[in-house]
Amino acid sequence: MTHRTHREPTLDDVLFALEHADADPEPGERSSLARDRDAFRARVDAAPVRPHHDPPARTGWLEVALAVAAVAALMVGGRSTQPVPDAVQTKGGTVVDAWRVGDTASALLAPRDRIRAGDTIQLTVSSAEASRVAVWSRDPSGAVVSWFGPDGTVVASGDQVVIDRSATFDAAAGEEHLAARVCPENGSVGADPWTQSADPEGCRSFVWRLEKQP
Amino acid sequence: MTADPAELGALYAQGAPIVLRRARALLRDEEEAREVVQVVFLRLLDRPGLLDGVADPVGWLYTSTTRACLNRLRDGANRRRLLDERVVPLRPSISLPRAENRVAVAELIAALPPPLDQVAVYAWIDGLRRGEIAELLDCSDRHASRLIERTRAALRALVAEPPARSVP
Repeated sequence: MTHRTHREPTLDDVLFALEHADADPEPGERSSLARDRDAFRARVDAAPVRPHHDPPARTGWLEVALAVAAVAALMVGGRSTQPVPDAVQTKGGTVVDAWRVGDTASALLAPRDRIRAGDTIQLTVSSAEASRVAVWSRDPSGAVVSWFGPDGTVVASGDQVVIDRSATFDAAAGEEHLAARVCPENGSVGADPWTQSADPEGCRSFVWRLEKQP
Repeated sequence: MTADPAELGALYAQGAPIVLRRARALLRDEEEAREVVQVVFLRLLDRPGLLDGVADPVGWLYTSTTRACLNRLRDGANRRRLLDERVVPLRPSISLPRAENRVAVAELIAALPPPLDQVAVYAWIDGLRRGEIAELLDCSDRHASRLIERTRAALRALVAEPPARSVP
């Protein structure tokens, strides 16, 4: 007998979903739309915590235009000298993306990329299963800052969170590092990956090496 | 919501992850999904009036992402390739590798006429109930219920009689 933990999606799945859609919701049921609406409102209402000095101006029309135009140029066949940004995905389905919300553009960051002094980096975590996520940054002097303390933060199953505690990098030029470690919800995130290079059991670390220009 | 630059900037910063997640789920292709993020926000740059009077920006992102994904699935080159490679294996007795099969089912949904294609996406990808589908389609619950039933019938008909292949 074959035992399968993951079944291939079929047309029957769609038909079942449609049948389910036409039934009355269960008490307390929350759809992805409702969760996204709540999360969006919360994020818009809450002022991001920027631990250092004044943040750059909020991304505006021009910044969005520049970011979109840059990517659109690549879409129509342009060549980029930047590495192609890759989503970082664990086997458990957790996806971690780093976004640059800078004073000239907003863009996804590749594992090795360039930023400018004053850029703000935001992480997005989408989790297919409950995970514990820790984030650290290390400045050119080697000083490490933990964004969520020794226990990290928990991302619930099926949730997508934007880590609002953005880091603003505006010190001297040099290499800035950013790291995220995704662990099982009940596991320990351990120390930062520069202190503890080996991941704790069940964890996976991702590091962005960012060349910071003035 | 208005086309105020600050609000658009916030919508991009906060909404892009929502668009990306839904596009990934539907297209199962990272590069395509990231392009959809750009397509959705490029529309706003071209036509900032689209947000005038929009009280629910997340709902707007849902509908825009769905349309953008369905359009990509209908893209001519993709359509020819997918029809050639995948329409026949859609029959229930034939199995495909998991990722490809998901794309094949999505392709079948993209072959539905609007708004049945959107109804299928909201039910399958997002797990929405008729009340929320009605909100996104701006119709009554009763009409949404009828659309859901029509979508089921249309999908069954498509499998019984796959769409005609295009001639290169």
